[in-house]
Amino acid sequence: MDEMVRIERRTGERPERTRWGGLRLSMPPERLAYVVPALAVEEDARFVAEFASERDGRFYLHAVVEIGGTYLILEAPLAGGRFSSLALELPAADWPEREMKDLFGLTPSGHPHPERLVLPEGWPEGEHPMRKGFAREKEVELAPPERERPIMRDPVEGDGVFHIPYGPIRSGIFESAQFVVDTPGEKILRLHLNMFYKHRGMEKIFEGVPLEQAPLVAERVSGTDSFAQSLAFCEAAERALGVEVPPRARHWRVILSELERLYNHIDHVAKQCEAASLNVANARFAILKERILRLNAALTGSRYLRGVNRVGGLRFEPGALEGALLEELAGIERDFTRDERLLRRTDSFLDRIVSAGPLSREDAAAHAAVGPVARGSGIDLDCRRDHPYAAYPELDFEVQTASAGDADARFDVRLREAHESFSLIRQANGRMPEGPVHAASSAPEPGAEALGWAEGARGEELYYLRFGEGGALDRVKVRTASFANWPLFAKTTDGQVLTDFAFMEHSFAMSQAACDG
Amino acid sequence: MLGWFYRGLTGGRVTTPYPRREERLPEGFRGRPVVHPERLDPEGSWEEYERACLPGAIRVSEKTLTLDLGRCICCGLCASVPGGAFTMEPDFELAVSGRGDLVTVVHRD
Repeated sequence: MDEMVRIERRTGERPERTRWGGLRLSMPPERLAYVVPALAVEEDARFVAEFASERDGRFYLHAVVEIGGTYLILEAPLAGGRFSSLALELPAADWPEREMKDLFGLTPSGHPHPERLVLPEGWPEGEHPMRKGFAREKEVELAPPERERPIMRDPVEGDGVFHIPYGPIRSGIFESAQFVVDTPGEKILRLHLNMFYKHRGMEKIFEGVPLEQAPLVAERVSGTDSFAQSLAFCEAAERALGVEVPPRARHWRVILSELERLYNHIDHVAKQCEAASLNVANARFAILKERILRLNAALTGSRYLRGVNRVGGLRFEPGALEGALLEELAGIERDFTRDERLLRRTDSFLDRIVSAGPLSREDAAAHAAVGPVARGSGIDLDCRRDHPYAAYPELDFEVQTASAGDADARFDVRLREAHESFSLIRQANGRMPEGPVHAASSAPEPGAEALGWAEGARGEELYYLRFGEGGALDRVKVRTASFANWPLFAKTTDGQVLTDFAFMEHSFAMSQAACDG
Repeated sequence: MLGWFYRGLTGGRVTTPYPRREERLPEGFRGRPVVHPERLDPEGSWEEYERACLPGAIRVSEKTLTLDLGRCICCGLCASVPGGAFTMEPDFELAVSGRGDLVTVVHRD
């Protein structure tokens, strides 16, 4: 059925079809609190994001859902500093609403546990960094911490049960996150996630940055998703400005996106091999990753594909994927296929990932999981197919899913996706259209807004942006795949054993920087 | 397991002789920006270089232009400012023994 009719049935109003291709509907906040769960439960809409913005001294609540293959933005002007929480009905709204409470000082009424999420302990009450009145340069004094134990919500207590704080500084991992495990020794009874140690205020940093430089900010949301981040940002800006990206740039964006997916997926395999002490396999997959990074450098001048995307296309024509570089790509694919075949026959490895970190389809859906984490639990979603962008609609590929929901299913999904990536690169390169890689755009109109998205290695990377006075970036919302998926990690460890922790964590393969923002 | 043992033996050596021999980087690799003072217009305003630099690695005052590699993100936007006073070089060996060694100052005369 037409999504317009379905939305009208639940909201009583017909949404407006926007210039950026999605749908939009304004309503009072009490209506929004009823409509979003109704769309999710009755119409099978997928919760995508919930966030706030401030304009002309007034706060607005925004919810994004996906219905019938289209993104719908619901917007509600808030009269005061409160709004009705969606988190009881939609667990996926838990983190977004606590984030809004910290950063905007808006209170989600009826939230099951509205504790602090993003801001550090000791941060003074009443200081909300995303408010327009909070200057970017402002320095805030933190009160010294008072606790003796790590932060835990409803810890499991009892004879012989103890709490292991693991992190925030850990061996082998550059990023900071703390996992607190309640355990009587081996079995994990409950896992507490303490994240946001390195919240940098990326959304605040975007405000006022010239459009020419803003993709550089997006790239720094997450180092290993740099291309997907800058692409999702550029897609949003291009949709808001109505600029048509030239076909050549759209094909290049596919090639570079897939190279990014490949090195991330291969890195995940290398890390799993390392956790299994399979040293030769670890080294061989790590070498493959390095070869892709070098290929990236040869094509774009940057190992992590930074400084390439630009609103309207690419900043320059990448090096041609032909001759020695094309042979190198074929060599990487050949070696990857060979080692993959051996790894899939290595029982001592498979024993560690089969049945580790199970995630049910129900949990994945309730928490609105994205990317390989969702696909490994049988949820068939992928922006590349569902919300076409770049040159994906012109290319052939299959979205890979598995049903078991364990670390093995996510491993299997990523390996099969890697083969699709090689194929996509060959197709896009083989059909590379002639022409420029950049199209000029007009100056942004005040009030213009749009969503942009890209299916990164970790899933749907989503940007909302809105231009303000003089065409400056007034609000940028970054909803990364890592922010969407991380809360689910605690679900996968219940009842598992501590010795499998590394396998479960690597199988999620989320970015901490992208989560912390 | 034997499969990995043999594969380890047949993999050959992948390490390179660096730093004994120079590591060749691909053409166009954005390793570091280099400022060419002779290409700066002595009469012109240098502010467009500062404006092009997101992290504030390029600062311009009345008499000087300062390039601080400690703040640089190697995006290369300075090299696209007309005039060519900045170029991106493939040199990736940025380590120095003092913080001040990362800073280049160009005087107007």
